[in-house]
Formats: sequence, C-alpha cells, structure tokens
Amino acid sequence: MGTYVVNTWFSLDANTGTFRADPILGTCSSADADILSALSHQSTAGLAVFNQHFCDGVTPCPANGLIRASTLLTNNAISLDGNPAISFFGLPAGFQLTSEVFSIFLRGNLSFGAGGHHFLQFNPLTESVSLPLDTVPAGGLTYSFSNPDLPFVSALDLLGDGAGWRYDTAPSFFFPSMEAWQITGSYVIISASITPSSVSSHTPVTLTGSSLDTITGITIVGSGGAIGSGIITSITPTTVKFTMPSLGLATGAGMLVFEFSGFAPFMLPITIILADPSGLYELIPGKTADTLYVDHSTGTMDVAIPNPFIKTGFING
Amino acid sequence: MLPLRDHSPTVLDEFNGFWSRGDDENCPPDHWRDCNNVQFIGTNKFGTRDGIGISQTLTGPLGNIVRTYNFPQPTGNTVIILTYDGVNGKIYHYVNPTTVFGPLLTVAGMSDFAFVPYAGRGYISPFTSFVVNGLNVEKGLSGQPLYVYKGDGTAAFSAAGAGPGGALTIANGAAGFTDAGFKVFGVVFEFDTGYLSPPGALNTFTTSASQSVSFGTVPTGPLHVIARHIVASKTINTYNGNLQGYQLFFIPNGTINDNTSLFLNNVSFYDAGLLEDASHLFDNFTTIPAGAVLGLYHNRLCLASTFDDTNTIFVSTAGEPEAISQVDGLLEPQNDGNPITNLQELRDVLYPFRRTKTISYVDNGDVPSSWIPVPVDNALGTSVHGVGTVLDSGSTNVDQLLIATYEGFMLFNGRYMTPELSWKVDNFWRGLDQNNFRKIQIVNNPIEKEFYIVLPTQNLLVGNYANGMDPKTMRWSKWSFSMSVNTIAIFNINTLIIGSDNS
Repeated sequence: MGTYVVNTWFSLDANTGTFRADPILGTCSSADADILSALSHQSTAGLAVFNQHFCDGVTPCPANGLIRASTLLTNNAISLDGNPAISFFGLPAGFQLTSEVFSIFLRGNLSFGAGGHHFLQFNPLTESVSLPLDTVPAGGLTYSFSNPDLPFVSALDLLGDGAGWRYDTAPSFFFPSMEAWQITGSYVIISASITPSSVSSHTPVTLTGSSLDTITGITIVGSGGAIGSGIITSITPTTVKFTMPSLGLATGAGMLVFEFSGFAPFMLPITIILADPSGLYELIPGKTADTLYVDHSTGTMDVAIPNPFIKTGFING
Repeated sequence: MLPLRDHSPTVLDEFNGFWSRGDDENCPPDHWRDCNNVQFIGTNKFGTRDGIGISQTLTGPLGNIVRTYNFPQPTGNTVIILTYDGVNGKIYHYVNPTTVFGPLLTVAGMSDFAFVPYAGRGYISPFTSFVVNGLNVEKGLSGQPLYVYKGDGTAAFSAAGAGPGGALTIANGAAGFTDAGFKVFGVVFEFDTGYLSPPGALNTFTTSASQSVSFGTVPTGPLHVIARHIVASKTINTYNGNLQGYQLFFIPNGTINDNTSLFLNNVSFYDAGLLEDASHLFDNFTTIPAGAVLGLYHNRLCLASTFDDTNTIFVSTAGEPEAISQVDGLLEPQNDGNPITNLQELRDVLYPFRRTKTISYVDNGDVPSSWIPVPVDNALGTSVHGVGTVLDSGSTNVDQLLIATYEGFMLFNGRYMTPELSWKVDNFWRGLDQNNFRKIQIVNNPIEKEFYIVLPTQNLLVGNYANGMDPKTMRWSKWSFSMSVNTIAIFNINTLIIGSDNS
C-alpha cells in the first residue's frame, strides 16, 4: 500500500493533434476539440494556458470548444511514495491503483455570465457534471474529481486520453490558465499468495485465471524477503506454469507471495495451484467447474473451466 | 431486429465444430475457426464442457499419472495405472475410488508400459522412449522382463521362468509296470499363471517291466510354482548321451501338486501312455524381454520392440501367453529401420504397425515363423498408443480400428479409409508434434458418440459423431485443463477418467 502522484507533464493537444501558434483567428476546422487560439505551453510541472479562444468550426472565434491535455506513457510523470518520478512502463510488478483523484487548478479572470457552464471532459463520451461555479475567481480555484464522482475513468485513461476543459458558452474574459493537473491516490502491488504446508526448490506451480499471458515475470517473496524469480515453463491466457526458484535456506512452510510483472491490473483473481495437481480425474456430467488436487495431502480446489470459447467462421467471408 | 439497409441478417443455427483446414477464410460459417472447452449437446447445440472431479477418494491419492489401461476382471472393470516421478515408474491397480493396490511393480526409468489382460491376469511390459537419430523410439527397458500380474493385489513378477536345476534321483519303486528300458526323466515346474518351465533336473534310468518308478530329490521351485510334473522319454534303444536330445512327455499321474515335497514314489506307466509332449518347452524363453508393444492374436500373446530388437515380433503358443518359442515363435517382417509400434487383431488378421507402415499376418495353423507377412500400407502407420480402444473393454472396436496416423485420424477396416476422419481439422492435426505421437491415446465412447484423443500437447481433441462417423459430419472440439493430460480411459461403462502429471 502506498501513495502515488502523477504530476502534469502534459502536452496540449487536440483532435488534430497539433499545437497552434499564437494567435490564429478565424474559422477553424469542424473538430470540436480543435484549439484555435494562442496556447502557451509551459514545459514545467503544471500547465498554464493563456489567451484561449475556442472554435466550433463554424462561428468565428471565440466560441465553444475543447482544449485537451494529455501525456505520454513514456514521460517520467509518476511518483510513488514521494520518490523520483518514473514512467508508466517503469511501474513495479503488480502495480494497481486502489483510488484516484484528478484535480486541476483554474486561474484567471474568467466569467461565463448567466447560463454559462464549463465542464471537464475525459473522452468523447465521459464528461463531468457542470462545474459548481460558473465563475472562476481571479485568484483561481482547484477542482478535484474522484470516482465515483465521475463515470469511471481510470488513471490509465487519464494518462492516455488526457482531459479537456469545455465551455458551452464563451466566457467574457479569455485569460485563464489551467494549472497543476494532477492525479493522486493510493496503490497496491498486486500479488497472490498461498501458505503451503511445505514447498521445495523447483516445485511446479500453476496459476489459473484470465489474461495471464500478460505476465512477463514472477517474483516470489517469502517471509524473509524476495526469494527469486519463477521460471515460467508455459503460458496461456488461462494458465501459467512455472517452477519455484532454488529456495536455499528459505525452504519451509510460510506464506509465499507471488508478485507479477506485466499488465497485472487486468488479471485478478488468480488461483495458485502449488505443487501437484496431478492425479486421476473423471468427467462429471453437469459439473460446472473443475475440481483439482491442490496437492495430495491438502485436499482439492475448484477452478473455472479454462476459457471456453468459440470463434465462428467469417460471415459471408 | 431490423436489418440495416442492404444487409440481410445471417442466422447461425448450425454448429458443426472446429474447422482447421485451409486458411481462416475457408472456415464455413457454421463451423468455428477456433474453440476451447466446448462440448456438443445432441445434434445441433453446444455448451461449456462438463467439469472434472477427482476420481480417488482415499487418503494419499495417486499423482504423476502417465498411463492407464483398462483391466477387465471377472468381478468388474478395473484400471492399471503407471505413475512416474522422473526416476521410478510404479504400477498400481485401481479397483474403485477407494481401493487401489500397489505398487505392484517399481522399475527405474519406466516412463511408460504396455499391457494386455489375459484370463484375469495382466501382462506388463516396461518401456520408455530413446532418441535415435533425433527421433523418439519406444522400446523395452534394457534388462527388464515381461511381467505378469495376477490381478489380486500381489506384486507382479517376471513372466515365464527357468526350469529346475540339479538332477532327479530315480529308482525302482514298488511292484508296478513300465516298458522296460533306458529312459530320460526330468521335472517341469508349473507356475500359478499356468506357465510350464522347460524340463530340468534331467537324469537317465533303466526301468523294469514289473516295477514302478520312484523319484527323489525332486527340485522345488521359486515362488509361484504350484506343482511339478515328471516328464520322461519313451524307451531309448541307443542313447547318444544328449539329455536334451530326446522327446519328453508328461507322465500320467506324474504330478506333485505342491512346491515342497521332495519325492514321488511308485509311478507306473507305459510308453504308449506318454502322449502329452513336453520337449517343446526346451525352446521357450525362460525370461521374456520387455518390449514397447503387447497385443493378443488368436489367443496368443504378441510382444515387439525389445531393447535389443525392435523388428522381431514374439508370438506365444496359443493359450499359453508365457510360452514363446525362441525357435519358431518369431515373426520377422522386413526391417526398414523403424520399430514395430503397435499390434492389433482385426477380423482374424494380425496387423503389426510401424510409424509409417502397416503389415498383416494370418495364422495359418502352423507355427508363427511360417506365417507370411503381407504389406498393407507403406505410408501409413501409427504410434505405441495410436490405436483406439472402445468403452471400458480396453480392446479395439469390433469391425474397425481408429488409428492416429501422421496423415490424420483414420478408420481402418483392413485398409485405411480416406478422406480421414480428421479431414476438417487437417491443419491442426498436421501441426501436432509428430516426434511425440507416442503421447497420443485414443478412446472411443460409442454411448456418447465421441472419441477422446490425448494430444502431444497434453490436451484433448474431442470428436463427436452424433451426426455420423463421416469426415464431413464429424464435429471437433478442443479441451484443455488446468493440469496436463497424459492418459485417458473409460471406466464403469462410460465414465471418462483422465490421468495427469506435473509436466
């Protein structure tokens, strides 16, 4: 359990994916998110945008529109527990969010006037409710959103899709800045554990679950700390087989924790079958799960029938 | 549902299973480009396959199971199981979920075994795979014999056995009768499996016309000898000194029905009463080498692919599965360098298989070495477990064989039927690891109208023939499990049992 912060190293972007020079007036393209006017991109933590003008593609600016900010997964923007920032791909094995709060600081002499609203838009289908204030005070104001305040938006969505700020009517002043885009929250290292009666070096281990083929590595942690890495012998979407590393002095009973590298957030729940599911089985009509030996002294466990599916032939192919 | 303009809905109301032939675009809409763990219900439905449960409820159930065979016994159907931990192979007798005998036999390096049931007993031949020129070759373990298991939970032991040693003591007995003259006498052991050893303890004696004959120092035999028979030649006019050079016969009333008594006194007989020949027993193997292949044909035990000879087929005397003559009990098909991989009887014909060849022999009523090999197919053959068995009989179907060949899964009724039954899944079948076809095992369940095929990938390929056993009407599916599948069998008429290890 720990805390994380995703500080903004956001780049401004729009549907057309390009920055625009300052200032461009006139009619923009029909994309609602095109940014027409001057955008000032600060290459510091946080982002300020000044002199914004928006365009709906028809009406000469200023008009409705969306400004969008996003980041790259390779940017070092994620800080865990106050440590130096790392990229998304640098996250430790088993990283999974347990909470997230998205916040943004709006500053500027901005007034929407009567009936005007502004929103935060996270993707073309997901948008915040109308922000509670129709006027951003000159001193600025921080808006924060956490699930379930919003329709579900994952941190990964925010990183990949960014977020936009949308008006439905033009504000009467156009000198806002949007600063301190930030995602904060708590995380855990996803793992699965088992407390076997005994375990020895090179014991076969079978994992069952779904999307398991995203696992790229398995770290085994015992009561005395990390033991080593599992040696994966076969991997399918539903089954991963690996053997325990050499346990050395760590051999013995106690909880074993398996931490998974890869896109771990998508693969829970995971069932661990340690040691020995071998044995004699029989097909039982009407049975809806597979019952396996955990080993030959500790009974059995039920696991789902692995990944039943069909892929039909191409229709009119 | 309203159709989109210019688009007619496509109704999928037939589900004819896995298709793997040509490229994906060749897959008909009523078939599946891929599937997993679905089973067919009736003739036109499908659903998730049934789950599996454990098949042993006793403490310490067997693990690391690599092979099972049905073992029909007079009291019911049972299963013979091999477990292998990478070092030792151990054979058990699974009677029911709560009763397992064994280990009946423990052999180092026995990763597989051949088995045939015979008259309530089971014959067990340990073998493993050897790599020869990059190819896996299955043959019997070096120095290992064929074993026999009596089916009663006692340990298996070496089939056949040596004859007695030493020399019989012979003297005139009480008043009686013989054809007076010089004779050769000996002793034959009878084992509890019915096996008769070669005659031993040979000695000569000149009998008197008015006296019976008494025998002393009659050798006792090893464990499993239950009786000893005195054998004798007819009267020899000119003895040439070769004890084994004369035809020996069982003496009527010359049997000691135990393995402890050291004498048998006062036996009278005439030469004319010596009818049952025993001299052929000299030619039999006293230790039958283990092979990778066992079969039954015309009440004879057939064995092939021993460690030293993968081409010769050993054929026993009819009704005496452990009596294999080293002289005329051998079949020698033309050797092409590939081992014999299977032996099956179909319609009174014995079919030996190699991996890519099929041969036939017909019992002509004479000794096996006089049988003539006839090539059946010089391209198609099978592997050590590549011929299907039916239900819980442990035997092949009556009128046809189901055979896993490199070309496909085929019906064989004296010739291979084409197109193969696996026609729809031809790509998939040809993608299997041919060097590991030894792992293929086939069971046919006519009640469910399904074949179950253990694949080299240690999953199952299931063929459903509820719509007909025809290449175009077969419906195929793939089943996988959270453990490796090594072996299958049908138990209690139509329960599929699955043996798994940790590989």
